[in-house]
Order: sequence, then structure tokens, then C-alpha cells
Amino acid sequence: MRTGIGIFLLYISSMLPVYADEVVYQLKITNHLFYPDTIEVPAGVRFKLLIDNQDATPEEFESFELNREKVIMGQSKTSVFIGPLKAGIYPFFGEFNPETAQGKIIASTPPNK
Amino acid sequence: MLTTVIIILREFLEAALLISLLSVLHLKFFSKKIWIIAAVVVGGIGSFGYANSFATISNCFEGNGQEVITGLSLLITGGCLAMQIAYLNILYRQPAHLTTANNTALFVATIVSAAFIIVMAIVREGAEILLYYSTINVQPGNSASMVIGGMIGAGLGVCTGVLSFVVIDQLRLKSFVITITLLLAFMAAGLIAEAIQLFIQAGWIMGSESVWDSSSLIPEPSVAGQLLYAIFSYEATPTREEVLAWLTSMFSLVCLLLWIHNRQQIGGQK
Repeated sequence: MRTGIGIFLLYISSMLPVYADEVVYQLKITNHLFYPDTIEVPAGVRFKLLIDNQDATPEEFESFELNREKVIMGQSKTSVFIGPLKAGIYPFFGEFNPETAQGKIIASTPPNK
Repeated sequence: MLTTVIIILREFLEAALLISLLSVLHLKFFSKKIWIIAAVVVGGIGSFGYANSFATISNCFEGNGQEVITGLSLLITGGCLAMQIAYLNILYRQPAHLTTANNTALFVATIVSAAFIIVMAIVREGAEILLYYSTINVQPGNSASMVIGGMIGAGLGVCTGVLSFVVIDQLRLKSFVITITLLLAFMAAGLIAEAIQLFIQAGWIMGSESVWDSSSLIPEPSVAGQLLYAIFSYEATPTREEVLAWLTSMFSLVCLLLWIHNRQQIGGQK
């Protein structure tokens, strides 16, 4: 029982973040559009996405594929951690303006792997 | 208009289902409705306060305020749902305990925790709706469709909650207890898994790659996907950490129910 609890706690501790150099990508929201609308990232790497909402109104960054959802107030910035992602295409959208605010993240395996 | 319907329906659905399940549970054993109405009103007022303070809250915890506050509220809500499950299963087998002085504290704590669940659900979902509608002033051409779409979405959400209430209320007692226990257990586990996902988003927990991808079977944006999200916090591509949190929560709830059953059996033998 104690061994099981110990193994469980060790496993949980592996989920604690490692503060190595962060990989950061920038995303801008202007006139309910994302810039850039396509972000290429390496597969298998956790990264931080800095979102700068330059519009006056709030927007909600959302993606079913990425399991991410965050409201960004007007004229403000925020960040979300994403990944590690398997190789593939991950669409995201602005829930408050889904017709226009659309983009995607493309995760790809580096060619030398 | 369809966009607004979907947005509002999604926000209303989770709160409506929680309120209907808690209402049908407590009204079955305790006829007073006033605390439910009070919780809804407090939740509504709270959502205005939360929406107005959203910028300040978002900037807390190094910009992770949304994730931290929402994640903590989901964890507490999960615990409160566990209390509801315990209360129901204690009450079902020994309803006389409700009237004894020894369990008055349990009764009051259960009502307070149920009210807390309702308030938190309305604050969370209501604030997001208010933030969405804060954009209405800059979209005057769309304002009518946003208002009508919102009414439709809200109406559909409320109807879903009412339908759930009516269907479950018709069940015989044993089926009622099993159904409510299962639904609340799935909701509790789902909310705790959702809290873990928020902490991953905030960078507080390291996430992993998704364990499976069920989007080809049940896409998240679909009607079924959204309904399952409201009940189970369904994710088509959950991470290992979310799955572990869900399984741990369900295991803990099963242990809780077994402990209650054991205690009642021991009590019955004395």
C-alpha cells in the first residue's frame, strides 16, 4: 500500500513543470483576425503562445483540438501553454468572432528525426 | 445568429444540467425551493461582479488568473458534488437520519455545498456570456441577431435542464438514486479533469501528448459532443494527466460509496 502510494506520488511529481528555456510564439488579434493565421511548431515540444488582443473588445481564443480556451480582454495580452503536440494540424478560432478569427497550428516532426 | 445560439447554449447547458440534477435530488427529500432560487440569484449577481473584475482577475498569478481561479472553483465543486453523492446514498438507506440532531450538520453542509455548486456554475458561465455581450456595442448591425440568438440558446439550455429534471423525477427511488449518483459522479470526475487541464494550460502542470483521439467518433463541436462535455467534460483528445485525474476521481468516489455502505451495514448489525 505504501509502495503504491509512493509510486503514485513519484508519478505525480513528474507532472510538475520543468523551468527550462521556454519556446514562445506570438499571436496577434486585430480587427477580429489572427496574425499570423498559421503557426508552425515542432511536434513533441511544449511551448507558450503569447496572445495580444489589440481590439477594443474581448475575444476568446479557443480550440477543440488543442483543448484550450481563454478569454483575452480588449487591449491586453495573455499566454497559454500548449503541447506537446503530435504531428498534425490544430485549428483554433475566436469564439466571439468565429467567422473571421480563424487560424491553425501545424506541428511537424523535424526532418532529421 | 447561429453562432450566438451555439455560444449561449454551450454556456447554459452545463449550468442547467447541474441545477436540474441538484434540484431534483434535494426536492425529492426536502421540499423547500427557496435556497435554489437564492443560489440562482446570487450566482447571477456574482457573474456581473466576476465579469466586471475579469481584467484584474486575468492578470493575477502572472497572467494565469483565469485558469487558477476557475480551476480551483472546479476542484471545490468536484468535492461538493462528492458530498452530494454521499448525502444521497446515506439518506436513501436511512432517511430517518435526516431528522436526528446528529446529522443536522450534514444536512446543512450538504445544502450549503449544493448552493455553492449552483452559484459557481452560474458565475463561471454567466460571466462568459456577459463578456460576449460586451461586444454588442461595437457590432450594432448584429445586435438584434445576438439578442435573439441568445434567447434561443438560453431557452434550449433551460429546456434541456427542465427535461432532465422531469425525466429523472419520474424514476423509482432505487433507479433515481443510481441515476443521480452516476451522473453526479461523472460530472465531478469531469470537472476535476477539466481543472487539471486548466492548470496544464497555465503551465503549472506539465502536459503530455493526447492519449487517444475520438473526434472521428464524437466530434467535440457536435451536438452529442457538447452534451457529453456538459455532463462528462468530454474531450476528444485528452492528455494522460486528464485521464489520470478522471480515473483517480472516479476511484475515490467508488471508495467513498463502499465506505458508506460498509458503515451502514455495521450500523445495521449493532
